[in-house]
Amino acid sequence: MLSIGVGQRTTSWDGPVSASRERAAFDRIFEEFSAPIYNYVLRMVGDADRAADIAQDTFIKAYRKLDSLTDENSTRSWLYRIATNTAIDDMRRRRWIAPMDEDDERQHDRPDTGPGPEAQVMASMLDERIQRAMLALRPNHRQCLVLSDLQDMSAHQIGEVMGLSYGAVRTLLCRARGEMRRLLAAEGLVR
Amino acid sequence: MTLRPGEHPDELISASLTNDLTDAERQDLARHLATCEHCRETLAAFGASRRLVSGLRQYDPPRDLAARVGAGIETARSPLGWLRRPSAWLAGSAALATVAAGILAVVVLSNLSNDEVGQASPSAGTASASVSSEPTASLEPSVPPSEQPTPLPIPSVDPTAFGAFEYTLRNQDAELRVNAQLESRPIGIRRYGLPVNAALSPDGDWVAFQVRGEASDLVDTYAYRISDQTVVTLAEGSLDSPFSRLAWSPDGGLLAFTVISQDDAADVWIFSPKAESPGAQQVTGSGVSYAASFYGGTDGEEWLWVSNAAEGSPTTYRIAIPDGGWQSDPVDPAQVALRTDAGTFLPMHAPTGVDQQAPTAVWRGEMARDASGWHFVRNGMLYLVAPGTDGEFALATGGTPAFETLQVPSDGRAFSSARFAWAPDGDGFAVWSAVWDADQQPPGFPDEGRVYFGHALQGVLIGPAQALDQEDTAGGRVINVALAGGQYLALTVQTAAGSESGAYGPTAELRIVTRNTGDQADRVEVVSSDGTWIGPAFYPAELDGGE
Repeated sequence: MLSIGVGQRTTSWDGPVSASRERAAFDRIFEEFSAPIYNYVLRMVGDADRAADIAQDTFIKAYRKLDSLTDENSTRSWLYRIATNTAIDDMRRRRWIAPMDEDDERQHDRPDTGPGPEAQVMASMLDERIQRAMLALRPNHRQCLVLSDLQDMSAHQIGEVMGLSYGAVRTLLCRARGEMRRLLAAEGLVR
Repeated sequence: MTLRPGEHPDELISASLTNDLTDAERQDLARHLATCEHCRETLAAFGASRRLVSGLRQYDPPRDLAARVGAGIETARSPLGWLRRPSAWLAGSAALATVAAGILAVVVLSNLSNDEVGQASPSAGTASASVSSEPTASLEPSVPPSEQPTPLPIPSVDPTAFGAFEYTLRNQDAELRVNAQLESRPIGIRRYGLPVNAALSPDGDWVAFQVRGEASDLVDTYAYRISDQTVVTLAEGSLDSPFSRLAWSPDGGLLAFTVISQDDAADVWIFSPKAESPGAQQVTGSGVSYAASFYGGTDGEEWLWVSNAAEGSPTTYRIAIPDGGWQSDPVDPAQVALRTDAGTFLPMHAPTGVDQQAPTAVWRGEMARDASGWHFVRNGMLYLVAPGTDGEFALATGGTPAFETLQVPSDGRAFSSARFAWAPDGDGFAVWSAVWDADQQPPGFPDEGRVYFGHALQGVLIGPAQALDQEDTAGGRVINVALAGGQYLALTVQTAAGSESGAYGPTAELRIVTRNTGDQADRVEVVSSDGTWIGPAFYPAELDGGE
């Protein structure tokens, strides 16, 4: 099992037994979800360095809020919700959330294809074309599409992550698929 | 979902890819697809799109992610780092500026004389892109210089000591941050809620603060050490009261506060941050005791005023608290009192308590308890009492009413309760949420929704003219008032409730008021961000300068 080497927790004066249990629980969560969360935020922001920062922030927040996770079965949606909000906050701070008709702004969302970590991560040409289409989606469309198609979540699970009703998720997913179809068609990948 | 003739059911096609269809919907879609070429193409395209996305390469996270998370947790620092991003103070607002600029704008204003305030807009405007100003002070003095009010003592506020809390709730994901010493840091606490009260220790090391649950209205009390982000949970699930205070001892070695159980038993607790194992201890067990303030003491102990509420006349006791904290079982303060003052409640010494001139505020009147807790029912009034030559206060008989113009009618109806705060200079004081049970004198005064502001050392007590401008608190409810000294106050004003779904939490603005008198409107700098609760602010207990 991975150990993240957490020291004495500073959020309370809990005894050593409680702290040890928390660390063990958190280690399990990190081991199971670090890769999926990293890939989720990577597809959300399209930049390896930013994705690493956001994943890091997500797990630190998760550790601080471990007390609020009362149902182990909800771990996945709870963690993705934190990751989603962290990624959205990051995008807002960078002012990269732009309406679809603001082409100039949208350029900023495209991954850097020059040398460096981004180029290594986005090495595959096909991968790059799909990612480019995805980054041109509205953030909420991109989010639900990634959760559905890359993370294989049901509409109910997506609703838990995004704070939406089942019906709202179905409608949002349909619009996202329609938009993605158009963008992939522009890339010559679908009809 | 019922299909209408001619309709292309894209939503059903989309949902079919993830098996999110009812049996009836599945049958409807199958029948439709059998006859609609357009929808068969849509299904094929949606399916191809899903396969492309689901086939995207999965990458390993960075090898150092675990180490980075571990280090981040250990230092309780946000990995994105306030240094690498605009402060969350300003995130989400249209105008992005640095938090340092926002704070410095306040400090710039704080160091101007009263005359200069009206001319300060250019520099303030330059520095405070994140801060709106309403009402806008005129660029020119509105009265001739000879009619300007006498400048009040202006403290030299240390910019690194000013701070405020910030709370966001989005999609059930809560975050609490403290902005202090020009840094913005997240705070992890067990139960998130709306920050409603804060007090910086005199040594500037700790901030005691209280958060109120959005649904329960219960208050949790914490202490946060700025230097290393340590958070100590002091009390959870206390009822709120206008008489609850966070009272630091003059050296910052002790914090006294009141915990009120859900069956309305109020008792005094102590936090000893400098003890080997910092933690909270229960001092009283009477069930009717409220922490008032520290004043004086001897080597090795601090003296604390504790007031016992009672049906009829309350009583205040002075008890000794060892510097190392309370090591005994809870006591009835009457049994260990060094001094007893019948008929008084909650003496609140000015933060400059060691100064022989420093006044104290104290309640007098008769109390009763109902479902809302203890409050005054007859002759309830706040008094300001100056110390005698021996430094002691005649709490029961001395002083003058803080609301100097109000006449208590013969039936004794007067103040039921109010919230009170001193400025660090021991001169300025504010009263808000004042519940006056008698007829207003004149109509509109006193008003529970207004903030009243006086200057004890200058003899400026509260009358109808000592209210902050109505615009200062317009559109919201005053939650907290923090005073910086001089004519500067920071109001936490709740302006919006949260969404019922929990998608967004309540909104509060921090309104930094420069109090003007005469014809000049108060100057108000608003720090706000949609869906964010900003406040309360806290200021250093001791300020450099003064006169």
